[in-house]
Amino acid sequence: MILRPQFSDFKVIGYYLGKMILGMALFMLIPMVVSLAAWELNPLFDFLISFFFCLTLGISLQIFCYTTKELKWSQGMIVVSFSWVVAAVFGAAPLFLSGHFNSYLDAVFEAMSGLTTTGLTLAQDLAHMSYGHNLWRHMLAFIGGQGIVVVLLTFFVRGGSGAFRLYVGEGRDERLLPDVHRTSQFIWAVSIIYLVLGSLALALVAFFDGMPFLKGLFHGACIFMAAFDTAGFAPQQQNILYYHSFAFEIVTMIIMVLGALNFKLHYTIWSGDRKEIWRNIETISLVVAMVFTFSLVAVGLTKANVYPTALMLFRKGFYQLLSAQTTTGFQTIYSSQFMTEWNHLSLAGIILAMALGGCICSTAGGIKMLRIGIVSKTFVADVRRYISAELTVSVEKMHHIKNLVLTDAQMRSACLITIAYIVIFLWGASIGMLCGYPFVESLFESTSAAANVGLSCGITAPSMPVILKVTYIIQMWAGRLEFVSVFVLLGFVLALIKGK
Amino acid sequence: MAAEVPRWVKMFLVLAGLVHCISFAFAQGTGKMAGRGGLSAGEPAYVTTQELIDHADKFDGRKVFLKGEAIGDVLPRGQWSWVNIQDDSNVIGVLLPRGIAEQIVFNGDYNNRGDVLEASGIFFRADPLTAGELCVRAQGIKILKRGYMTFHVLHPEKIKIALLFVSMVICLGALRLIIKKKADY
Repeated sequence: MILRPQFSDFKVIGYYLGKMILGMALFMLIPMVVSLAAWELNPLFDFLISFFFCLTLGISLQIFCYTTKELKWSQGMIVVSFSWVVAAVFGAAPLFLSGHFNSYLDAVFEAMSGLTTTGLTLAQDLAHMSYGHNLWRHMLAFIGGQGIVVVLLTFFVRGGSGAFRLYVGEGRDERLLPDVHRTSQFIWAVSIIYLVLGSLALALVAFFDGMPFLKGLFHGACIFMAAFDTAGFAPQQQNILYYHSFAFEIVTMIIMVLGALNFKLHYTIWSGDRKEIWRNIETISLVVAMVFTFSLVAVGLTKANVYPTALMLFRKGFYQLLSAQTTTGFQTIYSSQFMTEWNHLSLAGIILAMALGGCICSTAGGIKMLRIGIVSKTFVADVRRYISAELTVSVEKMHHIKNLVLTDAQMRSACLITIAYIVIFLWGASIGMLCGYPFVESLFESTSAAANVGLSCGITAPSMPVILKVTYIIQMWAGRLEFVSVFVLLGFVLALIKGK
Repeated sequence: MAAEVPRWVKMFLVLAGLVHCISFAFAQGTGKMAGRGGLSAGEPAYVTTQELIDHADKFDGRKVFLKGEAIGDVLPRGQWSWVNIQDDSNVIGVLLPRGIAEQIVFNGDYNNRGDVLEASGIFFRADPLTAGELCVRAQGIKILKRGYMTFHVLHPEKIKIALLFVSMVICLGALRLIIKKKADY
């Protein structure tokens, strides 16, 4: 029997959503300070309005939904699902006020793209965007990359079962430290250390490439946030192509790989166990996947004779592939070049890389390497079972931080999520085709949105149909949350209608 | 006394002029001129950045004329400098000899409108000099319109809306304090 949600359920959900909105307001203080420092008064007021609007709503929810009740599993999942939607709606406010977006929907698309670390953009005339607004776009990616719930847990929610339920609901199931509160703080600490180091490295490269140091630092910070959080935004419309710098590309490649690796792997390596990187099932799967997908891209591009030298192939072919595999979405070619210059074989390599994605418990999207490793092992185990003697009992093992025995539940879960991703890729592609785009373009853009990549073949533009914008927003959201929280939310809506 | 021009020569000149006018109008209509209309006498046929990107194989190795705003930064690389030029359709990198790039004074950003310039040069789909960049290696630029600093006027509505929300936050904060005090009793 399905139970209809009670008023107390709404109160708990509202109370935690209020905390989340207050968290978003706090983050707006940073671009506000930047706007003030750069004396950009209109952007400053855009952030002031959005800040106080968030405070108004956040405090209202805190007052009217005040409760001391602990979160239940389903409530935690619903809070997580709603948090991402609410954060996108509120995070879009300063973007919309900037005047660089055609409609509020476009601004929500941008905010959702940032928060889910996708990187598809509908911003217009980025060259004339203020420092404050541009920083906010990248900060959304940084906030979303660490996880909105991680933000909530770090600042507003103390440890306990409720905190753990929120943490798991966000598609993270690995605790680095004994409690999730400390885990969240660790994630932020690591991210901020990397942010400082990465921004400085990029700023130095930009400085030696002829950019003033302070401007280089701004670009460095923005690009770092977009690279480490595998988001793919850039302060300029040309993306990484704007810098015309091989050194810049190399540094971003390193940061993209760091962002796509499991946080737990970072922690293990930081703790001194450097061998883990060569034994972990995720890193092995990542290397194998990249060798395979790059082979497709390289053969395709060589056949098409687009980039005749090895260096060109590396800067254009490999860069795009690494960007796709780590689900970052940085581009060193123009969007339409994918369709006008790349052949179907090379596009197949890129689409496959986007779909497979990076590692679990990282900022990367896609099906993810741990699942690919488990699905591969399941497949091999099944084949072995068929060819072995009937009474043979085989046990599948894998190494992921420690040696583990693969259970049926893990195998089933990995297969289910993989199927869910494939379904959502095809669903988005179908909507694209309904809107009149060819199959390959539609599949490319749909995979990019649902796997939170951000590479574009040119479909994503302010002029694209509204239904496609909404579809991509849903895909980005569902792909980032890895479906479970979304299913629970759908169940909640169903319970509202059919529950007793 | 000047000799009179034969009638057939006059007829030929009029006909040639007519044919030229018709072909010009037709070419504009079908986009064969690759320009954006409104060309005056002596003005080259500009190609847009998006046309270059979309038809890179067609323009590869050909001389092109671009018109657009210099944006961002001039990025020096040895003897050369990169300038990014934005028109209504897209942005493209233009590689210039360093000395020529120094003519650019304003680059477009939030506080400036960049110089509008005309760049003429060879378009490369994958320039071997720059390890594969799609770009224009310009031989020269002409500043068509000097850029300028932009002054952004603060919208008074924004101040009013901000004040409205500030007052709401103060009221809600006070309400929360009252509720908390009552609960403490």
